[in-house]
Amino acid sequence: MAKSGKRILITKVGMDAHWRGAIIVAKALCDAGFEVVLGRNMSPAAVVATAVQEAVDYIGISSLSGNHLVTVPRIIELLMRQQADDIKVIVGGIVPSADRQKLLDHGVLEVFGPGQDTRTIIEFLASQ
Amino acid sequence: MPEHKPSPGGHKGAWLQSCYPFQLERKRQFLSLSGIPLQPFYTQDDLPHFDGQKELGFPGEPPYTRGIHPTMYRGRLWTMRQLAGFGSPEETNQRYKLLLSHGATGINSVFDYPTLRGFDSDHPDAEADVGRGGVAVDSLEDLHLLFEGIPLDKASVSLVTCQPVGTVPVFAMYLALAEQRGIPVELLQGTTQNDFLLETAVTIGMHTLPPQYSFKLSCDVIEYCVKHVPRWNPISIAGYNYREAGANAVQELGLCLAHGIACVEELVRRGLAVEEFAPRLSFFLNAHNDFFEEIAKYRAARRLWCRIMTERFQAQGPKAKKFRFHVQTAGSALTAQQPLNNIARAAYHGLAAVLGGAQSVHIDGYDEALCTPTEASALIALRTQQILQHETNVTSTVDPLGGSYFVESLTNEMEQRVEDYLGKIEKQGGIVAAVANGWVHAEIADSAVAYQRAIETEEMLVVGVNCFKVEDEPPVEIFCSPETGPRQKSKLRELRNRRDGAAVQLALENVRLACRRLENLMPAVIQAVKTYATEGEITDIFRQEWGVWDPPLPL
Repeated sequence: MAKSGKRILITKVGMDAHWRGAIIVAKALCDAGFEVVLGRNMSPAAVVATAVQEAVDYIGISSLSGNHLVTVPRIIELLMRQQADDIKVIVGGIVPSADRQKLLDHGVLEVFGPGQDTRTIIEFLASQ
Repeated sequence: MPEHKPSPGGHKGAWLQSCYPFQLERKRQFLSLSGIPLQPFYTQDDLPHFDGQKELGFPGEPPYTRGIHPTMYRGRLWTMRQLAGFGSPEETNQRYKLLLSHGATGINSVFDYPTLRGFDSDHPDAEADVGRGGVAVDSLEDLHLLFEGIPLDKASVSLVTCQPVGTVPVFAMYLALAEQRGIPVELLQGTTQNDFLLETAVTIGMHTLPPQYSFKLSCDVIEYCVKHVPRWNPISIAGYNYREAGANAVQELGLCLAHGIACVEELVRRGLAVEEFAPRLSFFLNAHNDFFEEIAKYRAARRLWCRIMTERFQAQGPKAKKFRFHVQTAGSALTAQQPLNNIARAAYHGLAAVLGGAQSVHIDGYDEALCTPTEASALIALRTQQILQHETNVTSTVDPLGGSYFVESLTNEMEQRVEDYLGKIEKQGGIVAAVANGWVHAEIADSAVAYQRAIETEEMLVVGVNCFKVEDEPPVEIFCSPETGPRQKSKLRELRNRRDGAAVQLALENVRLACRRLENLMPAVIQAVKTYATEGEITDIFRQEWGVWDPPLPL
């Protein structure tokens, strides 16, 4: 498998406990040659600290509990504050369409909904 | 993979070879969702050594393949137990009353993420999830609000406290609530979920207790109930959630039964008699897309559990051998695309549960893949159950598919495969060890990935997802969790100022001592919640005393 050389941290924020989607996407990206760091549930601050430490290109947040409108803007704000906003954030999971626009307005690169083909996610990241 | 080979020289084999037009089939192979090869049709040849009396028996008689009661739904319809919980206790209380007023026959109380994991609403890591996915509960006062006007001695209340770490304090609050209302706990009927795999392997979260301690807490609840709350189901082994996380039907049932076996062994080790506690163990299974495989799974589950309890644990009485189970329809089979289609999906899932002899059923709301159910979708789900109960007439005959060559073959095959899977779990050292070493995590993840791959290669079709798609779907109404965090936080602040701080500290020290001595935690925790110690204050002590554990995430 060709190495894309891109690194991505995939994690869930707060107490959100449903890991199925995160693991599926992490494995698919791994198979596609991405270097994947799979983090356990973290606070927004820990997400940013891990992302910086691991020198990733992307942070992929899986959200099923609905906490994304609170946690994701906080992650983006912390990235900016630490001048690490070259790290881009993508979100996947159960994100209602109204929330999707809000997240994009906050600076999220892309939002992937339920039932998303993993190849679409891979193609999207590869094209960046 | 063992395939059913038709007996050579049998009518079926000969006919298949000479007459069946395989070249006209749509697919190269037909498989069940868990990978069992399916034949074009089944005959007596597929059940060569089948002894109806031994394998099926009569309804309500061992091995209970046909159902655990002689009359099944002719005697009593299944309990329609619709999940409800969101926001604050006051708001969820209103939803309970709505469902009960529309004919629901049990309450299924689902808690928010922080409550499930044992955190107070003001914990910094919990903040963003307060009131999400369930109702927020912090102290005994919240339980009073949650069950206001609900007769605890009459209603059957399922507390969906998934993880033992949350079950112990929340159930302790429920018992204290009953006591404060003057209801003897001996009368309480209901269920706590209390499944350690949900803490450690399936729904992974922050600050997780090590598997052996999570398992210990779950057994504390069982032991306490057997001695003091005899009509309560202290555990509902949640194969449902294993399946939702990615397991297939064989793994779901295998992990479930292995978990049941571990509980039996631990309680026997604690000196309880099988006849005393086994009747209180209950199970919770999924109803997924493969209609007949699911029915075979329920039937095989009853037969296997009866055999395990009889042969392995020498159970004597019938109650210790009966596999009692609740079913929820598969949330993971629902789609965000064209969500109204989920009404049809969930109805098929519900039908499978009923043809398989479930004791209680929850049918999912059609908007499950989008949000917590709205009032409208929760009501359609309840109505779907009522249509099953009153219009389809499937309730008139016990085990209506019993004796079908196909269903009996599939039940046998499922039983065999689950037995083999149990052998694999035993090789890991039993379920607790298999969780601790990450084997369970890897098993479930591999199946989740295989399922996704089947969709992406279109080997499996999902309407609206990889076929029959529409552009520009009209939006559906989305449920918005009411803002809960600030209210719960201010209630907590006020409570902490008002309560007797010294009494709380003393009670918490007793919890700590019980942790250190590895005693049953229930008595100390019940005392603590009565002083209005909060859930998080109690579980902090578990984590301080026993440490936390990083679940081995598979990649």
